Amino acid sequence: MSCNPLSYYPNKIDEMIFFQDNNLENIEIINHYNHLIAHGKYSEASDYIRRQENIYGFFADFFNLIENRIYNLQEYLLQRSPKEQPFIYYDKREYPPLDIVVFSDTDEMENLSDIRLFYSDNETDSKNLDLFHIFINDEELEKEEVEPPDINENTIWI
Amino acid sequence: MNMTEYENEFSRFPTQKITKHNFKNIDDDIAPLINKINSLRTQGLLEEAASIIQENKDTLSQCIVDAITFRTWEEEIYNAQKYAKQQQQSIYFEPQEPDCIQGDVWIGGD
Repeated sequence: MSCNPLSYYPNKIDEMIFFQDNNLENIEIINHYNHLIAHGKYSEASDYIRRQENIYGFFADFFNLIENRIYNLQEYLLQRSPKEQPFIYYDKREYPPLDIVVFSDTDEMENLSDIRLFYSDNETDSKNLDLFHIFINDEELEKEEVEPPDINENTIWI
Repeated sequence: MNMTEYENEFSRFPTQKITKHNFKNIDDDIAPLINKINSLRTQGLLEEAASIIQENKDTLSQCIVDAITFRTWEEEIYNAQKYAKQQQQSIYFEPQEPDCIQGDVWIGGD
């Protein structure tokens, strides 16, 4: 099994192994390996299979490969600093979705015209909040400001 | 199940990273022990075989992959995926409740 057990993540994405069953093309190699194992020649069997290419099986290199990849991924994740998550306040009883109000830390409402959903470089694709109108029973709902509790500069109120 | 909980039967991530076995193929040094275990199994003496395995657990752990090994890998990957998801808040616009974790935002529903 010509399998490099080392993991190079995150410097590069480790290549796929495409583990597969052995087939008639390599049946002789597998038979010889099993023959050595059956006769207790473990070291010889291990050396023999290590020299073969395109042979897949439950060998140490493959298992070490899995553990090394898990280890490197976990180490990479633990080294990343946590990202602050904005607190979300959503009062479903009074405010339907898309009625978006953003507060700053000075308790002043931001200019909603500056807020865009799904913004892209192409201005024609961006959606200005002024384009959103909310109707309930054919009557347009007026936006009104009611502060959620415990707001701060990170609060997004939906 | 609380989506923020980790599975900790075999994995300690994110408190601790996976403990690597440093597996090795069976060689002639450990062959007598393996042959003895296989011989007992062949004779149907499973409890005796299990007893020998338990007594030589440290030595054999580098050579044997069992159900616990696979369960451990599964938990390690599962916990790593959860930890990674919690590094960034996701906002979902879905009519049906998505697979959120604590801190995510779901806008939708009836």
